[in-house]
Amino acid sequence: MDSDKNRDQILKEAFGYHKALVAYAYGLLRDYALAEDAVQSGYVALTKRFDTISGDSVLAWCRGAVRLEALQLLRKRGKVSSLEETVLFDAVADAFEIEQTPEREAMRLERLEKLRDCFAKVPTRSQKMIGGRYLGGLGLRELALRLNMSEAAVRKGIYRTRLLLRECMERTPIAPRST
Amino acid sequence: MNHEFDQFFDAYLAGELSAEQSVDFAEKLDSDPGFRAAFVGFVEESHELASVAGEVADSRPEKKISSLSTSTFRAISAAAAVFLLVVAGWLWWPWQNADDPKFADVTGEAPDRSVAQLEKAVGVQWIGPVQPAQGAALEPGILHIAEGVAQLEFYSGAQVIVEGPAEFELISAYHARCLQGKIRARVPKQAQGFSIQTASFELIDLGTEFGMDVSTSGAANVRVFDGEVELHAENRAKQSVLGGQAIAIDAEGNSSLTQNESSSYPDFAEVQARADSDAMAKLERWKKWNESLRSDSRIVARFDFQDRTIDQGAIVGCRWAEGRWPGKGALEFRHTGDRVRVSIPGKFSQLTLMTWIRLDALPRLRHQALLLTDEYRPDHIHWQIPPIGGLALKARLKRGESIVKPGQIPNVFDQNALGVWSHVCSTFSQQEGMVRHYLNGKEVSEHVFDYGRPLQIGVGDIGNWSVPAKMRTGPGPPRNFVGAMDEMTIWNVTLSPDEIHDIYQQHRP
Repeated sequence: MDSDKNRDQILKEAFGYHKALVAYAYGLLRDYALAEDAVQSGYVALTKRFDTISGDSVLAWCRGAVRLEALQLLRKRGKVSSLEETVLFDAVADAFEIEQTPEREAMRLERLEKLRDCFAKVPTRSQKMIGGRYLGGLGLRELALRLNMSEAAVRKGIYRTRLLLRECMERTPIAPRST
Repeated sequence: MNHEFDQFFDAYLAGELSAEQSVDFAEKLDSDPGFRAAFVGFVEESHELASVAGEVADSRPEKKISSLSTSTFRAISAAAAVFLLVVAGWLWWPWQNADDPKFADVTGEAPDRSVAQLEKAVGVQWIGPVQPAQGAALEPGILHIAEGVAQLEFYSGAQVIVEGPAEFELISAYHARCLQGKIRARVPKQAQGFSIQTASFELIDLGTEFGMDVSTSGAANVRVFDGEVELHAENRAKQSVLGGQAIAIDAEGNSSLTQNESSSYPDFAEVQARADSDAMAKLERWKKWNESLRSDSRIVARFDFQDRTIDQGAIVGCRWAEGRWPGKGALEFRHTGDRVRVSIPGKFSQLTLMTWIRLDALPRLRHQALLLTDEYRPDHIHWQIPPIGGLALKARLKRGESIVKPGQIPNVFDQNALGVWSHVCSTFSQQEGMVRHYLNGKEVSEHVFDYGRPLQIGVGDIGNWSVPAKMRTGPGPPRNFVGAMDEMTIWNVTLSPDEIHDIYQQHRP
């Protein structure tokens, strides 16, 4: 019973870090769908080995599992074969381990809610540019071809949209949470 | 957030950094706290943008056509309109890259390596990882048969029966190797030159029907029923064997005509008769099981597609067809409107969705519905085959919800699954917070689904997706299933892996 309770508490806390972990995996894998897969695999590992978390922070344990999954996914694709790629992978993982904290996570939902509201206000074409780049994982050249724009225009468009969104988020008050 | 590094970070995310830039980047992450914090912030923001962009795409599937049918469409020339339709078609959800190699596996452009088809498998016990289903396309590789009879149809036109115990290697449409076992081959004129190799000789057919009985030592008996074959052994002259003749070959390749060849060879008519009898027995077993399910209180809906009627749904379009065995009914879904409308009330903390399908197409960029509830509402399931030949069981989250959604498993189905009856099952357990997918009785993936509340089905479609006209966003994209379905069952419990495996084993074709 106690064990079940402990398991439930650990899983609940771990699931609360879902977005942080996907962001972490996205930083390592640079692919949204792969990042979701890596976090899913990390969670499946957690449901089977939750009893090995003792003393570690749940976020740190999960990041460790996701890092392993991400590394395996990249190796399968032959993407961490060179020394430079390995060094970069480790540096990115370390950067997240330093910067990502449970306290920072507490702000995420609020930030996401604001972003959602602001994103709805930008023109559809800009939304598609952002979606193609970060959700679809398209390169600038490909995006430019598909949108019949120059590469420079796409680069500027994405940069401006991000600036616009940041400005909007700074202006947007915290909306009351829907229940 | 510090914006001066944005382009550098963006280049990292797009994989556009050179080796030298990668090393610089890693060094800055290690040594510059401002750079590091900005980087993590940028990646988190990018991920959040992807997430929000995904939500927007989810909520406007109709944009593919309708957004272009108004002012923009009228304002531009016909040629430009065609171009924009193409662009819009691509831009519509999920912004996926059609040239992504992961899609290549399921497109018509992917190389087809198969050389033969498994036409019949009667009482076959396979050994090892290659365990093809009846009707499956076969790629080069070794078939190990412990017992039973398999009938293969090579793409050259040659038909070969292999009787176990046997070890038979497919090399090409015109070439195979038999290391052990009894075979009988019928080779039409169009496949002349079809050859079978053993450890001690090679038999080249000149348009005929012949039998071979190959032992593990390499010794073999060959009997030609009709026509002529040539035997080639190393350092020996070729030998012709004519219809009515039999020959014995030892492990060294020495051959001699024999009058007392005692091997009995499988026969095509006999295999057909055994296949018919086997199918009839399986159908009878399935009928008894089907009857027993009527009293199973755990079943909330069952569609057996037998007797050309269904009790719990309304068939729209579709065509009645043959299912897994002669005498087993199935519904064929061919047209974009084909569907079975269903209404399955209730809330389910556990669910098992199970079906037998024959998939006939894997569209490059379109989901195929197994069971989709109307619209895309929170708590209501969507069970479907995504474009990459995967399998997904999802429900939409409420706006702003932050819980773990199950991903979809890619590449469950590939070209070799087309035209073959497959057993597909997905389970959900609220208590466990898990979704699991099974193909042909074996678990293929499990996903954490921290939903925390029951799922619902309600009104929906088997094999399609209906979005009522009153929906603000208008009609949805096509999701029609292309193939046949001969059974679907929905339980209000999570069946165990053993139960699912047993059901598959008992009722596979």
